[in-house]
Amino acid sequence: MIDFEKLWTNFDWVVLALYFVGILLVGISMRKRAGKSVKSFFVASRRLTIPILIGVAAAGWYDSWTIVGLAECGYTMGIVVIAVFVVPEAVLRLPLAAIIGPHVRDKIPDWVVTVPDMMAYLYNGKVKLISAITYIANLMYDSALLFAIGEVLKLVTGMPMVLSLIIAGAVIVAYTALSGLWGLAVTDLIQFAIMTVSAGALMIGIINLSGGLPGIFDTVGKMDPTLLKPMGNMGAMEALAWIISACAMYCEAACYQRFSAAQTGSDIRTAFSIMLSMGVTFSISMVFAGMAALALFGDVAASPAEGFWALVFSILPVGMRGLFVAALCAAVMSTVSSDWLIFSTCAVNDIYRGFINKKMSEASTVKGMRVAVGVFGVLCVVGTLFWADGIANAWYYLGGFLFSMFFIPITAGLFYKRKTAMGGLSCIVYSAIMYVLWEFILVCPGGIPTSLFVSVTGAIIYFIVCNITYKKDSPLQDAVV
Amino acid sequence: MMSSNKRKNVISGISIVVVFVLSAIYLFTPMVDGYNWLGWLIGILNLIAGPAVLIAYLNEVRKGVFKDVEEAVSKEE
Repeated sequence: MIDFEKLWTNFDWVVLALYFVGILLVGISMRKRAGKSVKSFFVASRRLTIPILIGVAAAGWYDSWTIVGLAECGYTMGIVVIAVFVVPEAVLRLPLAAIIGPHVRDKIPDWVVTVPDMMAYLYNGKVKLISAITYIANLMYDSALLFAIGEVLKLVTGMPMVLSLIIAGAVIVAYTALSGLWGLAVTDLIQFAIMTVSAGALMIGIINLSGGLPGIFDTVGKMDPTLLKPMGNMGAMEALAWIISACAMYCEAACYQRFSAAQTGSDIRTAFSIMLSMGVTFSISMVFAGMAALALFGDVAASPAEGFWALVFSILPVGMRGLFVAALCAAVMSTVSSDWLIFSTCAVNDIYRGFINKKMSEASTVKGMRVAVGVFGVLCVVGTLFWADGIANAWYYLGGFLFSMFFIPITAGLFYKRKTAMGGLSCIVYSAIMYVLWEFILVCPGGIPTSLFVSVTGAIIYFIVCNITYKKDSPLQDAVV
Repeated sequence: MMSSNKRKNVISGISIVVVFVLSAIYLFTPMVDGYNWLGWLIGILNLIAGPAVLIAYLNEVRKGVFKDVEEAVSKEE
């Protein structure tokens, strides 16, 4: 057992506190600009330029799971995670960055600012309502991310988890509710810089501490040879499920929010492709950090997370440790704040204003969204109870759920000429029900991963229903293609 | 002189190639044992990435991008 509290100093506390104060100040400074309208609050008036887009995109696509989760995967799975997640994540998201993102920004009307709006545009109001409700359920993933902050702060500083969750939650609520995407744009950029510099310093520190990567690989190979096998002990089905989870970003609401915030489609293509080239390097550094943690601390650490933090604290000097923990908090907070922004928009703008009070003013909507951010913050903190055993599976489950439900309705909706509202609705409803049934009640019969089974069968249902209900001169056919 | 859009397309094309090249390096190199140069490459690329983007952003702020945004938003409203 490693005593982290002796390694955590007052200077690290100062660094961490200054980071939180800085974030709040950014939120306060952006308050007026964000409050002008829903468009200003949610998509920064569609004025984000390439460097800012890179920052918000990276901070949204690479969160605490990329740091802690991938390190845990490197520790427990070895190099197989490179083949089934890191590389697929980079390569398979390229069409999203280079084709779908620009297409969405340039072809879809200005009033579409959220994924539920896009569902209304591609299909109809019923599909929009179900999408809005389902995306809010993704709050569970944010609970997992928040749990990661609580766990690391408890591990390294001794701070009670409840206290760290409340502080983190309160800071996120404050700067998200105040500044919307304008504030996020600035803080995400700073956070992205902190994350990559920390990862770079960690990598070089690992080389200095261990004598180099060959030594790490030798030690890991002696501890468990399967960790150095390209596919480890992983079967084809499990590998496919991991690869599918890498594609879940196609269904992430935050991703489309970033697209909507860009000035043009070509800005998206440029920014996101640059970001992917940086992100693959960041991801691989976390996998190797996990393997290094196993090699250097595997015999004394009680868990992969403990081993990873032992590595970080051994390598980074005083002050930089505080910055690295701040980087983790940054990664979590950027994703969580973005999600709460989306959830509040779904709840207030899409559901309440869209279906219940259609005459709600812009100013009242923005006010309502700010209140909703606070409500979701509280729910998210309560939801952390579900992740007491760790977050390694959070993306596997929730990313898989999102992918199963929305990948086909979104991608086919953008390009398939025979799409119909009934096809979209059938696919989404079927996928939601079957995901729960297959994963938790039938427990993956035949070892077939849920995301794979549900997305394939959902796609079949989508195309069959679309072709049965397709009418040549239907108004839906005017949308996008 | 390249137009702005053409320049952006060239940059995105180069970035896409870089994604494939780096992915291939990161996928195949660990299969044939760890190399020190790989660790240095990853470390240096990470150290450069964030600050490079931050500098580009500060350059935009210096050129007045937020002031332009403020005026554009006011005109729209």
